[in-house]
Amino acid sequence: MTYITRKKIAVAFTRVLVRDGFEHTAISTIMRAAGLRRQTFYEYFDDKFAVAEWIIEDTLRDTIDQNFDYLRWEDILDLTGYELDAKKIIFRQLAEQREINFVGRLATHLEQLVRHVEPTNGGNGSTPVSAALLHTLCMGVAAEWNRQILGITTVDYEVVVAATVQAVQELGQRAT
Amino acid sequence: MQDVTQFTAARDELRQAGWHVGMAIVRDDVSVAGTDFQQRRRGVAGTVLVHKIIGAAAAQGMSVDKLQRLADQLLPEIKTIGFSSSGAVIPGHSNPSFKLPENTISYGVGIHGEPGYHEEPFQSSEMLAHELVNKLQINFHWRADDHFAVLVDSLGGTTAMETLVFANDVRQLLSLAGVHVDFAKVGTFLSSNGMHGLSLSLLHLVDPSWLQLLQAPVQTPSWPQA
Repeated sequence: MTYITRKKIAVAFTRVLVRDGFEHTAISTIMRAAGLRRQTFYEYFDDKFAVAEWIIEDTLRDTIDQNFDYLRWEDILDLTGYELDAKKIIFRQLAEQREINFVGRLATHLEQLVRHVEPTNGGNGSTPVSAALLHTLCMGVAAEWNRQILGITTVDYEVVVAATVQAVQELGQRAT
Repeated sequence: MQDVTQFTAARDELRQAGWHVGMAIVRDDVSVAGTDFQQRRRGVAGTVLVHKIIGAAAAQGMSVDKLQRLADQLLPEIKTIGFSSSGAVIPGHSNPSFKLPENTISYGVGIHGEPGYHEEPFQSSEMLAHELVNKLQINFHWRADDHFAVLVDSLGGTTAMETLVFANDVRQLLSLAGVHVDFAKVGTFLSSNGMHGLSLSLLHLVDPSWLQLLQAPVQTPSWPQA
């Protein structure tokens, strides 16, 4: 029950996080909220930063990686934008933590997604987009999504997703 | 589509003979096929929930017109997704309907052996449950505190113990997602000649009367009462 136990701890963590803020989220409080022994926490995570990283990775795996074969890439971006926006109260606090590197993590998953888009990966006889260009684009996109989550920009997530779709499409056209 | 053609012809024939007949096409399968990711929308295990609810309503004396309306409201609220680890073995045939590499799971395989959308090595029951719950969440866009009925269906080859372990994982994941499970049924309801695999159906209980119809007693061995 490794995944479900981790998820139980993560769900309890988010409840405490929303109430107490990241700084004041204590392991003992998380585990009381999860209905688990305090010691159990350390069997699954090193510290609360590790839980925060797991939540980000779990969300990005569920919305991006696990849907390569299930949804169109545009719909994956839309789903991810929706999910991050719906839980903005949580992700804003996680993205604020320097130790977590939210932008880098999001960029890595976006890169994997864009590599699946046919004209950018050399499919259809096109020229593959260079790793450097892809990385730079995804870091830029992730930084923009991060600004939206942090509230630095007031545009809706749909606008950020639409701009991302357009950027990937133009990258694909450039590759062909 | 051949099923729909045949049943439509049967309905028309009955109507011509003077019967008052309704018709409901169950398309609960949310698996996808092909590179355009179109949902297949076939009728799979969610059909069993439709039969139970419409059957209970009919037993209580509901008119055909009202049964039709009930079915029309019910159908968009039922979705199913499953996985398989082996093909079905049809009597008279020595080979299974399809073969998978050893220790491989195929998500979204059809009960007639239609290809799934993704293959991966088996990890654990909870990761199978996680994948299916995840796909149903994408399709329902549920909110915390929504109410659901759950049907976990063995395709025939998966044992009762394995099915119950999986059902327990599903219940825990749904609880962690913040949704309520008001009704759950676990067993072999719609099978595929010994295929190893399971499907997960969810019915969004938009109308509380649907729960009463699900719970209404019925005397049949294929719907054991708790």
